[in-house]
Amino acid sequence: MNDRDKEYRVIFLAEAQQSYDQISTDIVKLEKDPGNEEILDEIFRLLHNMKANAATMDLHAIAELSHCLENVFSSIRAGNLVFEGNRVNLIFKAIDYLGYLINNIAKPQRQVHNEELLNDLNDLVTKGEVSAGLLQENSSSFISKKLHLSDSVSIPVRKLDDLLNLVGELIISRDHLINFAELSENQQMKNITQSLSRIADSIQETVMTARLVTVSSLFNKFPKVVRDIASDEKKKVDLSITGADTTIDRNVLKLISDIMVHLIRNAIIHGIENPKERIKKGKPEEGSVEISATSEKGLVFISITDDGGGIDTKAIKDKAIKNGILSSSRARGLGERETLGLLFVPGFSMAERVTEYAGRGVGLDIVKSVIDSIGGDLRIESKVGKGTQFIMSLPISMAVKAALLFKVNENNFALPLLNIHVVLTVSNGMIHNVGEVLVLEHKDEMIELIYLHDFLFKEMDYSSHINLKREVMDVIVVWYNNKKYGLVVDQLLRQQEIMIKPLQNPLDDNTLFSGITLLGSGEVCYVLDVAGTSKAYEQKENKVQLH
Amino acid sequence: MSKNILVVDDSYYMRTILRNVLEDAGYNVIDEAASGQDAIKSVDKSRYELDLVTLDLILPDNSGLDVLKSIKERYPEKAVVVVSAVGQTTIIDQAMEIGANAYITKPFEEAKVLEVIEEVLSKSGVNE
Repeated sequence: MNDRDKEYRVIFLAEAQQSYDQISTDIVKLEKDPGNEEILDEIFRLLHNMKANAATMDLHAIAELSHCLENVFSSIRAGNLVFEGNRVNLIFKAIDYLGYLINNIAKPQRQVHNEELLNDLNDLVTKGEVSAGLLQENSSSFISKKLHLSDSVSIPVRKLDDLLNLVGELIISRDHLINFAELSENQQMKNITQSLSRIADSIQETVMTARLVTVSSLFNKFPKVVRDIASDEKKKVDLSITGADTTIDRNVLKLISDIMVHLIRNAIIHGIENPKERIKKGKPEEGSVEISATSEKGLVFISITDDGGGIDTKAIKDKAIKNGILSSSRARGLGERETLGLLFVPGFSMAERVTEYAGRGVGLDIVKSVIDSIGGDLRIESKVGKGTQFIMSLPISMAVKAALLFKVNENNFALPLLNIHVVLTVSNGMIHNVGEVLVLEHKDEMIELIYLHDFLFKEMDYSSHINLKREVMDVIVVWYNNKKYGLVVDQLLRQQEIMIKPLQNPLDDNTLFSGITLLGSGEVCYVLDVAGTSKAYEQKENKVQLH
Repeated sequence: MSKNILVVDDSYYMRTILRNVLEDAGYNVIDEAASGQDAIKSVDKSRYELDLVTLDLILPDNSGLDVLKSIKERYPEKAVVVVSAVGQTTIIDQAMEIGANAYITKPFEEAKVLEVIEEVLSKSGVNE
């Protein structure tokens, strides 16, 4: 049985058990109120579904019995038959047998028709009466004495969303209380707060886990996607998938499904060479696409790797210069990784030809903006001739995130940990002015610095010629568009789970912040948006260059 | 662009199968609805993108045919394929009279579902 059949079986069983329980409840009600149309309609509908679903699962005994029962209830609904007398007993028996079949779907030897029962039910419909036969037996071997309850319930995702939002509110209240308890002298109050805090943590954890699904529900679709595109492109592609049992928030998975298909299409169409070319290059005739998922510290990493032609960074630079995105002087100083990041700039597409699947204007910039919208990150690594790798880092949950809190100009800010590469404490001497740009030298790398104090609070006249008053500074290094930026903050506070609330009018068109959160002290804390901040910084940089 | 389909069925199992079959074939399942009321809400919400509805006729609020009427009165250009179990010829006849574009009987072959939907979409002139 493949994964999908297993999934269908689990869903069928859960739904069938639920329907059976409902039918059992309904017929008891119906016995007291035989003409109740609402109940009759419901029983009829549930049997109708059971029949169709069981037939799809090739469970013929269930399908046949449901079909006969459906006919009986159809006659009752139509007024041709009254639900009373020994008919009631027969119908109860039939429904018991239905329950027995449902609870034994794993045992094919028990999936047998009960001919006598089926004949009696048919007689009921055609003759309006039952012959005595079956009804005289007092006990039936097929009625299970044990009550079976379904082990799963189905919940609309919306309800889980509501629950998660409430958990967010709970966390804010918990933080208030912790703050209050810290100031208090009362030891009992401190203890209660601690215990409440632990419970709140467990609730949050449990709710988040309830929303998780395995990525396999999406990854299972890829073999067919790859086969179809490869055959259209007349290429040979081997797909390997690892980590399909990695779990992720259902809403995050839904958001990335189109993105993944897009990246896979790109890999096959623009990455992997045709078989002739590959042989000429000394590569195996069959190209390879690897999809892998792993999780670590509340983050999920999904990578798509191909062994195709790779991306030519020189071509990207040329095109960027031609399109006016980059000056040629700036292009010279740009490293490989940063150059690849230009692919994420809106409107920049390297596709040279239009095929059915790609090159229709949906470029990497769109992919990137979807990932930005959930606070994730996308990176590219590529070697000419060797292949390309896309790595997505995604939050495991969308509403509650682990974040680093810091102060700038006496205001509180937060940055989701997902966006943070590393936090450094640097001395004044490690920072240089290179041209118009302030740069930190770190491990043979030059990281451009954004001095948040001036950047956020002296918006009109920000320039890199800032006055670095302090000897030692804290710098949060973040990734955006394959480029590292160092955010200089005034003071690091602590790491904490935060619930992000959207900005309200008139701030809602502000792109520097993705939202606000309330701290335990009741203070407002702005959540810095890495995408918005680095874009705004780049624009200012460009302005500086124009002068 | 792939065609947008709304799947209406009160059985989660049946919705899951239909969603998988349709998505594998490259259609976009824009929403699912489990009752007549939800179905109408969903049609209204997605009226600009929606191309086709697969509609189960036996729904909890007993409203399969009402849903069909409501769609056909207000959005005659939307294609509706009714899905119903065998032995329901009367209700299927009624549905076709109201204006359903085609019908599928459960249990169905996946290929049959796709064949019917493809034909309806090509006839109904929902163009790319």
